[in-house]
Parts: sequence; C-alpha cells; structure tokens
Amino acid sequence: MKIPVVKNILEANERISLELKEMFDQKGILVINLMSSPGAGKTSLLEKTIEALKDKIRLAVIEGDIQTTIDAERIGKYGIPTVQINTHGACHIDGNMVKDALPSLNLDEIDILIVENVGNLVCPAEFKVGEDYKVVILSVPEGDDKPAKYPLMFQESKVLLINKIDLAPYLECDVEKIKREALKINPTLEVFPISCKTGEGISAWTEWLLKAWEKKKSS
Amino acid sequence: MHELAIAENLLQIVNETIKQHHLIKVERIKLKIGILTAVVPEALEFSWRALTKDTMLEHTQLDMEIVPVKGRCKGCGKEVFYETNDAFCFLCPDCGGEIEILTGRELNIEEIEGEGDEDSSC
Repeated sequence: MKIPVVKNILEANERISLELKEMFDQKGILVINLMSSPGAGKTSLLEKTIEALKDKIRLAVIEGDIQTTIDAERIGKYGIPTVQINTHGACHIDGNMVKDALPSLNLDEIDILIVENVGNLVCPAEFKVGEDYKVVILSVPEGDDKPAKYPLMFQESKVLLINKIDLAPYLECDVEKIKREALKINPTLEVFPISCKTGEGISAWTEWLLKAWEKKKSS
Repeated sequence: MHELAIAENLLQIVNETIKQHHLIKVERIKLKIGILTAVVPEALEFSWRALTKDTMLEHTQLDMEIVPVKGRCKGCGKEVFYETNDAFCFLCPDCGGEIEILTGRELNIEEIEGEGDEDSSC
C-alpha cells in the first residue's frame, strides 16, 4: 500500500520552534538566532553588543557549541544571564535544545535573547529555534564568494553583519562586493559593515536591534 | 552534516506511520529535496543506512527527487528557472525586482510504500 504522508521532514522541530516563538511573543522577548562560520566573530559581536546595550536593555544569551564552555565564560563575565548548550557533535542548535535551556533563564527579566549558534554556514539555516530573526555574520577574511556558495544562510537571514572590515585593506576581498553578492541572494537583507576590533559600525547594528525590540514590544 | 539530524527526523515520521498503519514492511520512501536545502543525497542515504541497520527498515529504498529552484518576480511576474550549479541571483533579470522562491526549499516526505497486516493476509 502507498501511504501519502506529505509533510516537512523537520516538522517536529518546526512545531517546537513555533511553541517557543509563541512563548517568547507572550513575554515580549525579541529572539535573535546568530549564525556564522567558526571564527567570524559571533562571540566578539555579543561582547560589543552587551557593552553597548547593557544599561539600556536586559539581554540574555544562549551559547551553542559542540564542545567546551569557553564562550559562556567569555559572556558570563559581563554579568548577564548566560546558558551554555553543548551539542555533543551536532552541527547546529535545534528547538529542543533551546527548550531544554529555558529553565535556566528567568524569562520575565529578559528583553532580548540572543542564541549564538554553532559555527557553521550550512546546517543552522535549516533549524528554527523560536527566533524572530536570523542574523548572519560574514567576516572579510572568509572571502566575497561566500553568499553565492552558501545561499540558504543569506536567504534566510534578516541581517548580514560584515565583520573585520578593519582587515579589508590587507586582503583581496571587497566589502562592497560581499554586500552586492548577498543582496543578489536576498534583496531585503539589511547589511551592516562592522569591526568588533575597532568598534566601527557597531552602533548601527545595536540601533537596529533596539528598534526591532521596540517594534516587538509595541506590537 | 545536517543530514544525520534530517535522517533522525525522517525515521521518527516513518516509525509513527508504521505504527499508525500497522506496516510489517516498508519498501520505499519518497522524498522531495530542494536544491536550496544543500542536502547531500549521499550523506542522507549514508545517515539513513546507519540509523536503520538491523531494523525492519534496513532494506527500505529512499527515493529522493531533487527539486530545482524556480522563482517569480514580485514586480513583473517573470518566472525564472535556475540551473543546479548556478550562483543564485534573486533579482529579476528584466526589471530588477525581488524574486519570490517558488520551489527549491523542499525538505519533504511525500509517500511511504509498504505492506500492512491485512495486505499479507489476503
């Protein structure tokens, strides 16, 4: 017998993600799924974001890593609620992992929750974790061909942060070209060139983040 | 390597279907995989084989239909077809408008073909 099933293979995760999203919506928490390849600057961006916003807004972080608590320790120093998820080999965070991490956070005392995904430009794009927006970082040393090579990540994201622009003069990589290539994949992408090293461009990003939170709060 | 996680999710759906329809054998599972998902069919097959070894699904065939990317311009309505190895550009070649993706994002199970309890008795 032939049984028509016709459903998304990742339906179970989509369901959990939707439950999480509804809960976050109810609490008025803006959730960001932060993704990039390893070493592009996710944790550095978090540090800069916390420094800029910690007196204005209540931030919390879920740190996803295959192994170690190095990132959670880095973020923990800033005195904001931080939970480490170790995926033990899995190349991405999924809805269940975030759900399991929530008892460690007081959701009534969070305005923005940032989920730092596992460093990977492919897999995390496919698994929702209850986020409002996906944000991808691409650092200049990775090269301007990456949006074309990893289209789904750029297609799914709301914001592209081009990091390490302070290195651009030393590399054969054109920041404008990254922007152009990314906009071909996703014409509605918001692009902010930044340097977590020098702080350039960070305020444009944090302003966007604050606006997104205010919009969510008022809706 | 998200294929392993995808195979695990697939296995869960197949096991639920087996229970629901009292299947004693599953011959074939039809899947639709869009190019944009970046799923490597060989890696999915490999993960599936690893997960189903020594189970009733060990010899089940995975039929993967690879779905190319197709889009339509939100501005002028032009339909655009993309070759598998193209660098995607979702800006309309005619008017520069945003292209809405119609196909190529699929990660779907379509059909499970098997034998139920009753099938074998009649």
